[in-house]
Amino acid sequence: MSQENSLEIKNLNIEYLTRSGTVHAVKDASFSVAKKETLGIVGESGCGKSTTGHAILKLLPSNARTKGEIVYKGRNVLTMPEKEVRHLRGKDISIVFQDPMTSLDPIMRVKDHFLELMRAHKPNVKEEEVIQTASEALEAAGVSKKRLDNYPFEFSGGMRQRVMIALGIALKPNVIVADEPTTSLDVVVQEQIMEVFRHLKKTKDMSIVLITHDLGIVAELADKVVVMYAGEVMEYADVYNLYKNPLHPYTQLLLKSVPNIKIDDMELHHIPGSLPDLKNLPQGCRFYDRCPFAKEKCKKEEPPIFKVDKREVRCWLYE
Amino acid sequence: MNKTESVVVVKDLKKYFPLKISWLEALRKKEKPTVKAVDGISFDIKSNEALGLVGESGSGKTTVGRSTIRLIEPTNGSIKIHNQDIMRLKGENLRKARKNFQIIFQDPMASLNPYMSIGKSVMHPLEIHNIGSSFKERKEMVLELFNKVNLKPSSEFFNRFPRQLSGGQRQRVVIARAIITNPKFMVSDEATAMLDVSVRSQVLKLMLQLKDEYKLAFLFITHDLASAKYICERISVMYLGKIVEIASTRELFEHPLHPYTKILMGAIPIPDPTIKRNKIMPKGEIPSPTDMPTGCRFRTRCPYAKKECEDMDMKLIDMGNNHLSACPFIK
Repeated sequence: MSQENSLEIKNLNIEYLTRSGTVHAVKDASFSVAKKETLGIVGESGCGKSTTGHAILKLLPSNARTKGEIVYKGRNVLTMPEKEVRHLRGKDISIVFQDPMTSLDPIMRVKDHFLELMRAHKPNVKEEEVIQTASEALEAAGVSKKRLDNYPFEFSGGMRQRVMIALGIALKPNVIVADEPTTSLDVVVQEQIMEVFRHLKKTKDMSIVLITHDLGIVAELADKVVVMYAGEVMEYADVYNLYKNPLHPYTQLLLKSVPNIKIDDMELHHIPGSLPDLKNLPQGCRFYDRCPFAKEKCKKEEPPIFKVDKREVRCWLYE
Repeated sequence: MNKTESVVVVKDLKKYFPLKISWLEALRKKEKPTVKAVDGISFDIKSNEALGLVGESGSGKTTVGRSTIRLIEPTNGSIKIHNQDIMRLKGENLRKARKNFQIIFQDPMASLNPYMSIGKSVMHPLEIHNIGSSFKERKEMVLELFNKVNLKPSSEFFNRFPRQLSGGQRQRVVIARAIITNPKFMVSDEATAMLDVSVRSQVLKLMLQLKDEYKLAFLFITHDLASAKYICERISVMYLGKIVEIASTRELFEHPLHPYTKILMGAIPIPDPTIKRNKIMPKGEIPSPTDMPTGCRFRTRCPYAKKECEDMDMKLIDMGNNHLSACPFIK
């Protein structure tokens, strides 16, 4: 394992215990995030991408059972006591959620959000220091520091998301997890937020884990990509090779079914069928039902990860 | 364009929402302040034609969809659907006319009664409009339609409940319910926005297929230009209550004229990491609809804005090829 990785995820398994059965949300996920790298986790709803992202900060609900390792600075976050994880959150690893309205406290000014964050790590922090740090972070996210005294409701959706990003980067974390940071926003605002991320990539020394369902956003921001389906990593590759030459049938079909704005491409593609039930998974490959290349073996045996020139793919085609 | 063959003709549609003010303010001011959600837009749709209505949230596109079929009462304007003056209809007559125009909403779970089997849900419009003479006949019609929208085996699906279906299947049910009265005009309000990519194309394909089969006039409301491309023959772009550009799909994608359309197109992420574009981005944010700029409404954010934009009236100008744009400076 190289020293340059800021985060390593090894054989991560996550299950949710529910009344109607065990939901196998993530199975045997392994990948790493290098320093200054942006890793995109992409997949459709229910593929386990957000669960994986939340696990990095140990933010899973109490009915979740985890196995495997999430290694940060040589230690496994999953087995760390809650008290120590709290010291990590915000300062070492931070998260930006999808919905900025529910993530900000409606009765707290923007300044107070920063104050709360910084007090958690430094109980007797001075107000001047908070304002200094907050101004810098807001500036980097494209918000004027004049708005420190405003309440969340005084901001538009895009501006709120910028405030969330500013909170995420305020304490200069090494890793920032962005969970669908642009999903509830309009395209133009989305582009403005992506510009913020592009700027952060250039100017700050941090790794970004970008969770999204939008293959367009991944193409524009990520260096490496993890493609998830029904809780499993199906393909793990660098962004150029993945889009140029997708190996897994699911990645191939997914890329084809994205509507694009090239006017000469008028064919609509879709993937027949639907996701398997995560409480009652098939024996073999989880994509078997929908795969155009499915063989007898795929039905019976679940494929392991195969390495194909520095890339990883979970499919018997590459045995 | 030949007006006689248009199924839907909307002229100068306006919808103003009154703002709540305190009685003290009401005493001082003569005129009540309003939000001009839709401010004088006109369009027409032929049979078997889909018109896209694209814009950001707050542009008024949903209000257009709902007031065109009088789910909300328009402030002003004339609406003709299938040669019937919709604005003049009242009470029972309006209810009867509704079988000619239907709407599909974004969230199918909110559109379906959770306690009603989907078969009964889809049958309901038949009962309301008195189509079919017996339960058996109506059920037959529902089953046939279920096959058409690919809810197979249809007799099994008939007794299922919304919670037992996936998101894509639920949207198929909603589409079946909208189409069962054999309407002439269909509004789809962000009907595919909540669906995952792999399922979204399935539903888009189904809508295309039904549009052809039923010769529907289709108003396809979306924020996603890329989806509109596959469905629509023509696309109109809305900004703050006004249509700023309207053209055939190919024409619009190849030669967008209005600065706002150009920006909207540039903002769509392309799933290809090798493409690096030079993006023009608008200044600032969408202005509040209660305090709209004078003249061109886009001028406060437009990268090409000049002095003249302050007092022009955003009229659509024909630039040739049936390509209408509200910006007279870019041709």
